[in-house]
Amino acid sequence: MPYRVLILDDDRHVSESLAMQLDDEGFMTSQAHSAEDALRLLEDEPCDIVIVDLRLPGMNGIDFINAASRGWGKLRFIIYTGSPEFHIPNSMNSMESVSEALFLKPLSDYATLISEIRNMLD
Amino acid sequence: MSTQSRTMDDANTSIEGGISFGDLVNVAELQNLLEVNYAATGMPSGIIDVESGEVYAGAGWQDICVKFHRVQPEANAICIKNDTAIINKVKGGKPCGYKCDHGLWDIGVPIYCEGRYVATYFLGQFLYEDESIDKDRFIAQAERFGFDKHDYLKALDAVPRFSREKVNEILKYNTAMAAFLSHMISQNLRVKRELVERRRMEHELRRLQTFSANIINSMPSTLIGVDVNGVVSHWNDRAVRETGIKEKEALGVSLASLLPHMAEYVEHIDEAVRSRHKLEYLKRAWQKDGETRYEDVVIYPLMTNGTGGVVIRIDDVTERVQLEQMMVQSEKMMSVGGLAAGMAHEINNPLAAILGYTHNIKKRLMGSLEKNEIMARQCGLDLNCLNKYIQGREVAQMLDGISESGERAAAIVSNMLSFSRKSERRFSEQSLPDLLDKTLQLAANDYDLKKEYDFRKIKIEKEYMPDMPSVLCEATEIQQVFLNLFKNGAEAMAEKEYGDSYPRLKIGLRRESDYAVVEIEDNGSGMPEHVRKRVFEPFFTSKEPGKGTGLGLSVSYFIIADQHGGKMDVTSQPGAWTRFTIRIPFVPKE
Repeated sequence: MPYRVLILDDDRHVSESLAMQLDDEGFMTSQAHSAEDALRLLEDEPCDIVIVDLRLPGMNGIDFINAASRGWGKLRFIIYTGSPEFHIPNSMNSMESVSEALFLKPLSDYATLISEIRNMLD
Repeated sequence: MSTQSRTMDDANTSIEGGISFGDLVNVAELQNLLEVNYAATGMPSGIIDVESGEVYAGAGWQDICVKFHRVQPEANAICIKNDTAIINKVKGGKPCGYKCDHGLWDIGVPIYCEGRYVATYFLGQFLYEDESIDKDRFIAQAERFGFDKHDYLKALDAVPRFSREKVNEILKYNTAMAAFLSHMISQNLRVKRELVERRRMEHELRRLQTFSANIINSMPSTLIGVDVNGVVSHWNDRAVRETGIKEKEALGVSLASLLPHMAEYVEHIDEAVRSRHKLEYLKRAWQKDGETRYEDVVIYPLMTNGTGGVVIRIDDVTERVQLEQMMVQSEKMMSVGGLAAGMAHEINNPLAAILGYTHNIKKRLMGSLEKNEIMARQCGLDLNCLNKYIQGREVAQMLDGISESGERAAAIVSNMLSFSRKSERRFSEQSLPDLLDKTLQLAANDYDLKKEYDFRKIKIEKEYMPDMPSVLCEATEIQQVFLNLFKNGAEAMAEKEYGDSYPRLKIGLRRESDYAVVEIEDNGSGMPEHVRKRVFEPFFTSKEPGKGTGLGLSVSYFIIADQHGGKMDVTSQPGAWTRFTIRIPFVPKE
């Protein structure tokens, strides 16, 4: 059974290009373009890990992680952001469900991201 | 004649400011005058100070007084009482005759100085011819005071006797003489006063001269007085220090010949004098010992000086100008940083999509994916043929080009971001020799990979001062600066043909008071002055289009100057070498 990855990014091209990569690597992917959409999607179909953009219209990525963690205890998160200045709250750093590695856009090294996904789920 | 018992020694009063009657007349001449008058008239006389009792002149004084009455204490007490009485009478303003208690006559004539009674011209002692002398009274006095009767009476006989008419004539002369003396001493007092005032003013003038000379000389500016012909009339200490020309060598010489770079200002001296307005020439650049210096030159016309002329004030403002330039530089960088922070997110997203899609295309066209093969089979496509086509039409190179360009754009954004102030800095104690060596290693690897230049072919010459103290800094940032300079040097050396010589990178490390000084010098192509001046400007690059971000050196500058409170300079000899000098404070300055 392949891992199910949800890509949450308001930029459709960013989420699509990443989804294509992960598809090719054998993951099952779905995409959401807002945190609210992502939460609805999680209700409908279960998911193993979410690649989260931080700046989003409406609810931001940090609040999304907090909300989704409460609903789905086993869900894992990897942050993928275009804002290098964005600070992750300290409370999040200590959360086991959130990857310590912060991935910055534009990503040139997809292998690291893919191995981090596997690492989080295995 | 009545003399007072006090002498010159205890004279302690004066007309004003320590000046007494004796200072206002020639006492020796006065004495002579009284003596010849005595010889002519036989009338004894004396001139005595009212306040101090000092005797300024006297002639014909009688033994009966000076050898008898004045030497016997009891008799003298009577004399003194009489003296006071006659002076009090004379104070009334008119000559006054008085017969003393010892039976002899005196006449006092007042001498005035500017209306103030200062001395008495006494006539006497004498006796009138028409008065009978009571011998018994004098015998009784001799007995009372214990005088030798014979000698005393002999002294009495010696006292001159005049007719009343004669005394009146003599008195007229003395009154006229007293008036003459009064007039003279009043005039002399005024002269004396003027003299004292002039001395005071001369002293004040000298004091002021010294004071203003001190002010002019202690000014932190070069001050040069120049006349309308451009000849130096004043040359202050600062001018001596700045030019090395001594004051005596400068005075009377034309300014243009002393300081050739000032010649252009000499032409404006007339203009300043005519217009009566100061002329300002600010931040004027000139070359001194091969270095650009900046001066503020202000020409002040001298309004009160009848001969005309100007004072030229010169201030060396090089440091201020450099500081301003640095601040402008820093401002530019900060604005770039602010801009970058805002746009990084907006640019990074499309870049992520471009690079992501490109990556996908490459994998789906050329990657060995099972899905590729399945799809190809469904479409009846031979993947080997496709590969040949892709190679033949250089599709892979194009895709690599897209990736590289996207990555460069990402690097530019990332570099620009380093201009924004970091909210938290991770400063730690670092050994600069270690950091330099580690970075050299990094540079070597970097160039091995890209093959643009083989770092191993560069001769590295290290000159580290032993026992360098550690530096409190952000290690990754400082390493970024070093790496940047190493790469820069390597690229500059790659552009040059060496012939017999070889590329060499000199790395120096030494201590200068509170700073660690790192010098990185390559013997590459060097750079012309117009490039050297601008290398730290953001987006300035001398590299061919497509190479470099134009931010490397300005990021380095920002890290050193702004983040670490240090300094960064560059000097170069075109065609020969370029040297970057970095000064990092051992402890960062706030």
